Amino acid sequence: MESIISEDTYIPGEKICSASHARSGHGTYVRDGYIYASLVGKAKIERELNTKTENKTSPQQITSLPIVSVKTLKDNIVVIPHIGSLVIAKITSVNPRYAKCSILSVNNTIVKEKFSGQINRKDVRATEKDKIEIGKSFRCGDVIIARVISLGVVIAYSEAGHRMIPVSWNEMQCPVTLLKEFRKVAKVQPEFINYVEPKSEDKQ
Amino acid sequence: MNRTAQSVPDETWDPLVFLEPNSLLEIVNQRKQNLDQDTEHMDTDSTNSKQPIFLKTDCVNEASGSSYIEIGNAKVLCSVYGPREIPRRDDYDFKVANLNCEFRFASFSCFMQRRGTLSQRDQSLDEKNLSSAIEEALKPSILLHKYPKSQIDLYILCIQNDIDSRNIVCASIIAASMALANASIELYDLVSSYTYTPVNLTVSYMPQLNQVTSIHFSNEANGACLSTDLFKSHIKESIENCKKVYSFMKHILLNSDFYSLLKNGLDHDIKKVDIS
Repeated sequence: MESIISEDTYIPGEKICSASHARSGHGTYVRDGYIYASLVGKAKIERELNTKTENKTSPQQITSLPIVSVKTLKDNIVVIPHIGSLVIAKITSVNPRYAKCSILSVNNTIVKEKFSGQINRKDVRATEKDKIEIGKSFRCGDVIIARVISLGVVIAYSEAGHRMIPVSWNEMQCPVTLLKEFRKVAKVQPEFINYVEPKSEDKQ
Repeated sequence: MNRTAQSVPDETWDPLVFLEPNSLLEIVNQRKQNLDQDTEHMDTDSTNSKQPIFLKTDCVNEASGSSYIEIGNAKVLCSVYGPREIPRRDDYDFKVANLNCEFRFASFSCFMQRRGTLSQRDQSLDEKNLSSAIEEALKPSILLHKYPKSQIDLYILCIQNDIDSRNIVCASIIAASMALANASIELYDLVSSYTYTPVNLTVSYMPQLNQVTSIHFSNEANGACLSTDLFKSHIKESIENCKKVYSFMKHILLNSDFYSLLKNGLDHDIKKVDIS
């Protein structure tokens, strides 16, 4: 990765460049085909080095456009825990079904305001889920590392046998019969999107 | 709060209450005149379109972002806290942030004193109206979807009120927008605002996006009506003035002390960096 930081400072609403030349990163937004700044700070352009691009197929070449992001003062970064982020937290209360914790840092950045989280009994480990006891896993005051998760359905087939499309957080719709069925739909994280993307599966 | 620990007597009165009604009016008028003289003195141009503005960011250490503004006689301090966790998880939309805006007049800010300290009294009706007007003007400028399940608190304190509360709405909106930018909360654009004082018509406007976010029209003082043509021309004029205010806001954002710090913080990054 190669990165360049611009000389001039951008303020919210200032146009940075055309959206066809770059992708929008943190602190920017796309509107009418242009990338605008949404934070006060210097623009940072990140480009992946062209070492492996010849081997890659066309879809990956699209993603190798430089990323434009706006960088603010370091201790002024606003972080809130998103699904998929790695957090460090302190256990505040324990009961047989779940433990509560207050989040101290998100992705190595300390959070300014307190956020609280909940660890359910079945999420403590991946194996032998029935034998988990919260009391033997955590005590109050322990500092833990955890990943923010959201459980839910990623792939589901309708009664007619077609792959359904999520339409809201608790509904999925069959593309053929247009019937809606209730599901707890997951929010898929970017690193897992390749597993779920329906197009790539259809090709194979 | 422990009421017994307070050194203030239970009942207090504004000294003006004990005056004869006529002399009270005289005093109030005199105060108004004094304030008017101040503004005229500061103005280079006697028309109200040239109100002097003073603007500063980073005034409250505790807050994530803050700003202080003076327009004419109006003095407003705004602080932003958050994004923080929503305290009561009941009836909120979890996909976007919740903007909580609270406008208060300090007890000494108006001609007639407001009873009690801020923590003692509830928001009065005019404060609530102003809060919702400010919230309406700012909401379209924030990327609320970037902060799910959280709340952004905006506390606006009026330190000195102007005659007939003129300029208070526009000063609060400008201060709040600057404080949000100062708190590094993602914004579509800064919101600039201008009050056409003769009729108390406030227009809030996002200059880069060329969008009007809100029009606040409270003509309590005169009770007069506006024709459509006059209304249109006032709005056009206000938008022109908003652009002038915007260039000033931009100048302040780019030249505050915050930026000298930023420069130092980033020095080691300015060179090209190779990360394999």
